[in-house]
Amino acid sequence: MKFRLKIWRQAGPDQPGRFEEYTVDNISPDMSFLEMLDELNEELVRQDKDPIAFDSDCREGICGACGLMINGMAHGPKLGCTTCELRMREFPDGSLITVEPFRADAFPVIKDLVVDRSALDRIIAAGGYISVNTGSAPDANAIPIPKEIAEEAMDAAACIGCGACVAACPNASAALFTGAKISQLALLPQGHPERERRVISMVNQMDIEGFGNCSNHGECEAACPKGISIVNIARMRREYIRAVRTGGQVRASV
Amino acid sequence: MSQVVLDAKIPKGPIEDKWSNHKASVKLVNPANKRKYTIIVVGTGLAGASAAASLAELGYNVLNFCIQDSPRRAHSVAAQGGINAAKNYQNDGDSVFRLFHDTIKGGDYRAREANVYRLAELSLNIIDQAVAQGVPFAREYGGMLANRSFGGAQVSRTFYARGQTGQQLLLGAYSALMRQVAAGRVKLYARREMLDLVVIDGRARGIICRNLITGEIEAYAGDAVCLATGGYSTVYYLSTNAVNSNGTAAWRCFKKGAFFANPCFTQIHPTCLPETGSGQSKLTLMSESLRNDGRVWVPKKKGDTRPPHEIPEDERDYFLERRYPAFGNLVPRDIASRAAKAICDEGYGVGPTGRAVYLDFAEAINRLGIDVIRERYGNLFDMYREITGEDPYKTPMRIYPAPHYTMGGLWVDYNLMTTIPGLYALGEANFSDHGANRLGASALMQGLADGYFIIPVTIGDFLADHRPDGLSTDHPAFAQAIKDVEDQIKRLLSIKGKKTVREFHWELGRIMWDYVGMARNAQGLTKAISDIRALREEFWKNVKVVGENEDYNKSLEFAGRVADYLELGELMAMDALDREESCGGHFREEYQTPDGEALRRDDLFCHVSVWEHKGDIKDSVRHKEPLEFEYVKPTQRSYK
Amino acid sequence: MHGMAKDVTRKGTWQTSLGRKVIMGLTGILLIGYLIIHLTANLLVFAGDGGRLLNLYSHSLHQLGPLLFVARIALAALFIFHIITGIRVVIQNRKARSTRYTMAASKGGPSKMTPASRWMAITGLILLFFVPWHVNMFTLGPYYETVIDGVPMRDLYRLVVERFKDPAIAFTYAAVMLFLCMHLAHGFWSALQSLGALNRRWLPVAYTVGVILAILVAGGFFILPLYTYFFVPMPA
Repeated sequence: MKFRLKIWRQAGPDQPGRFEEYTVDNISPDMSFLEMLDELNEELVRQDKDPIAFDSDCREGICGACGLMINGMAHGPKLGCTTCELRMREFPDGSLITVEPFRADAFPVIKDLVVDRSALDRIIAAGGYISVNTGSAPDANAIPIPKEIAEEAMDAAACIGCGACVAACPNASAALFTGAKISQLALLPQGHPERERRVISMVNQMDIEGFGNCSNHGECEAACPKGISIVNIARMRREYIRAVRTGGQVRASV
Repeated sequence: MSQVVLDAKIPKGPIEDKWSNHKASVKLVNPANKRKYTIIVVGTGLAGASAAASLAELGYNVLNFCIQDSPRRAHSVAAQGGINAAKNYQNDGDSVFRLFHDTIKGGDYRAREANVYRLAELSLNIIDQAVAQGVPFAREYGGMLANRSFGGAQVSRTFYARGQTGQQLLLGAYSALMRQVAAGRVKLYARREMLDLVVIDGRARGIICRNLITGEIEAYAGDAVCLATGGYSTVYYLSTNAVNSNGTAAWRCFKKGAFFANPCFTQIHPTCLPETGSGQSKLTLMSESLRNDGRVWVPKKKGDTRPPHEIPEDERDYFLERRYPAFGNLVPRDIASRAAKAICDEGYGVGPTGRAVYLDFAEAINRLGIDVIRERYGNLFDMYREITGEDPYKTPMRIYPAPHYTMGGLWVDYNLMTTIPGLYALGEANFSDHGANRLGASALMQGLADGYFIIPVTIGDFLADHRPDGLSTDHPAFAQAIKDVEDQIKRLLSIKGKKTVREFHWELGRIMWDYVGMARNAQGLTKAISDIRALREEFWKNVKVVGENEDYNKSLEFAGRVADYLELGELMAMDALDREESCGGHFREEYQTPDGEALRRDDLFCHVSVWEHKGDIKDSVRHKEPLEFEYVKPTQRSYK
Repeated sequence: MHGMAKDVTRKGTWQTSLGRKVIMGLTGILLIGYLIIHLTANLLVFAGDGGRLLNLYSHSLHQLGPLLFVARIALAALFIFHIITGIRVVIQNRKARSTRYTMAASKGGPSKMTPASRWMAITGLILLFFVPWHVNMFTLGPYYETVIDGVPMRDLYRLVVERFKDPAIAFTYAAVMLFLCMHLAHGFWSALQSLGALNRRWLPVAYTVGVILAILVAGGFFILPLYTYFFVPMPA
């Protein structure tokens, strides 16, 4: 297969960027999108040109390192799939493909298609955990958790932290990412003692990082390679309303 | 040949008391003094993140480094199947001893008994810890934890979170780590690659890193260094590991004096997607659980190009069921992989490359119905369809073995300390508890046992004897190490040859796969050694690395890693040549039983091969740590 | 790890990204409630009774006296609160992506992104200009008097018909109602979602109800001027 590529090139965070056009030929339809870029990069290296920088690691859709805006869609046109899982057979032969980095002010461009998503780590650091020191845990079966609850928590926990939700959101909101973690920990009994503190800290951190508001476009769910549902955003809001009403304190049950 | 005595520091006493006795007798660091120590942890996978978090909880200052942009992306994230723990929640007779026994046997009697027993013991605490962190393991309707069975065990002891157990456990450790980052007790350094170890007065005192964004060469000092940098399966170029997984950190420690154990012990996983052609960057693993219901076959006729559904039943060779009637498709990983390779080498392989066998679910779908199969394997079938564009519900999957895990690694004693005082190796980076073959669902267990429960105890024993001295990176040893690293980078950039780094890596991978892969022989290994040397020589004359150091430069990153692999590959071949027996994942064609099974030679090779660096790779010296089996007596594994 | 919120207050406020959406949702839902009441009353135009019921209804409201004043202030406050919060939300959203994409498209599937959701700010702005025009035209419009059952009262019906006999007014009004329809189509379910009221089961229901509600409410307001323009005779 043959493709024309329009790719965003940007030398550094403070440098102006621009699109450049490339042509790739002899691409197997079974190749992943990133393998196609690998081929292009090999060619660029042979020509002594600077290869296109992009992040990737596991190449099987679980680490969340890769993420490109392909033809205006986060991770490309296919639902439930990361950029590294996207195969070239999804594109018509000879077509023009536009590739941009994930754009959000909270995700500054590092180089070309590489962005800094450490804001997501800081949201987790703000409260996306259960405060339990190593060694202090009770027996794993001490607290039964209904299967349905465990499954619902797992649906939320499937997040790979790729940032496609932010990239796809017209407002660059991180509500699905944050909501998924809050949801997971709010569903499980182990997460209850800190639920008020958690949601308030994480939401504050999300705002400090400069993400937008969630306007309920639901585009994040479509972009999410793991299909994480926006019901998790609703659950985060319930948690938040509850926490604000109790002043962020644990509500004593009398 | 060896004068060095390797003291594994195994505690005295009966095996079930060794760890408790050890914990009770190690020296402790006063809580108020812990904050005066700085511990460097390299890697944020299961072992690294759990160690960094647990050490910080104790009060140590921790500097934690990872190569990815976020600690959550470490390759532990990709483990699918599950994690073993001898909880005996199923009341099926499981126990710590049985898990210990299965692991020793699965490793083909090439692991240290005391370590493996401790691992089995700690498996219990790991599950407790993970559940407390909010890891959403699968549960039964009554709310209790669910288990599944896995290869090499006759009990149901594998805990799982759908097909994403590694991800969920890693996110648990990552959340504990981020809690300590927020508390200021861990300083996190992402997008850093460790390029050297700083040894002062024979003790590990710091590391040199390259900032992968700016190219800056940075130095960090500490009182101890914990290496949790994973394995080296990407030496084969195509493997199930992540593209950034590499052996550089461990290898540079080897060159600084840490001994390397059993480098030839690698695991080739049987159920991976076959290669599709050039340009491929990695191989994708499909969970081993597929072999529970899938039947493996090839056509009886060589070079049969008919589509699978046109091949009648009596013209199919279900070769695993034929060769191993007792275990059939469920033989251990090493045996299944070898059988698939052998049959393809004979020319019966299927698919465009002829390097694949069928994994057929038609019979199971008929027997159980498509819904049951969908429920059990739906996500794996989807994944297969995504990648190949074929529907495994209708047409058999094509699978082929792929490099997956390396049992070998830096040699460590019972305290997980390498031969360099103050340098520890955790998780897949050490030569580990898996002997010559790792059982499924045991890697997660080992990484977390090392990080959560072992290192926090054993490191104190060392630090108590080594008071904090406020060492800074002004010490001349750091300047020297920085210079060495910079010199290598300059050298790589100055060659300006014709062949790309990826071309070298690919060629090395071919040599490794052909001669140091699933089946090895003296002739092939000798050839591999000379081929690798020739390739290495060519590399340093003709490699093409573009760009400059002061930039995000993948070409340069990979050049350094491939340069190291061109040495490690040679050591792997030397070790494989030296070990004149077959055991676990190491199969020497000269040493097999008349019906083609692995022939272990306990009289000669019941030891860990421990390599010491002596300048040139070919001059490396092999020492031995003898293995003694008091509790599990070695027998020939039989799965017939 | 720059920008780690260390001393961030543990107390939540309604002035975070989440809090503001709660305000938007709450005020939005109340405004929708008002619209429904308003529409029900307006439908009295269709009664074909020469405006008797509509005028009686309007008169009964005026009988409330100070209570009506309070209700109007409250309604205005709700409206203004909705707008101000909306503007702040939009500003934050614009700042969150200062470099725009060259190409952006919806991925489809479960996405609920439609022109209605994308143009909330624009349709909201149109309504912002529409409402004072509307109030000025009717509430603050000329005072015609009529007598029903011996009681003198304002002849609002006459004013309405008179205005809607002007094609410019009738068609502008109807056109604005199309934008109202869009605003409600996304606004209704979005308000519930912002209030955290939805789950897996109710989310699709709320979405569908929102679309139906938007068509009914905006449709009612849409037909009103056109019906009046074409079919209602000018009162004597």
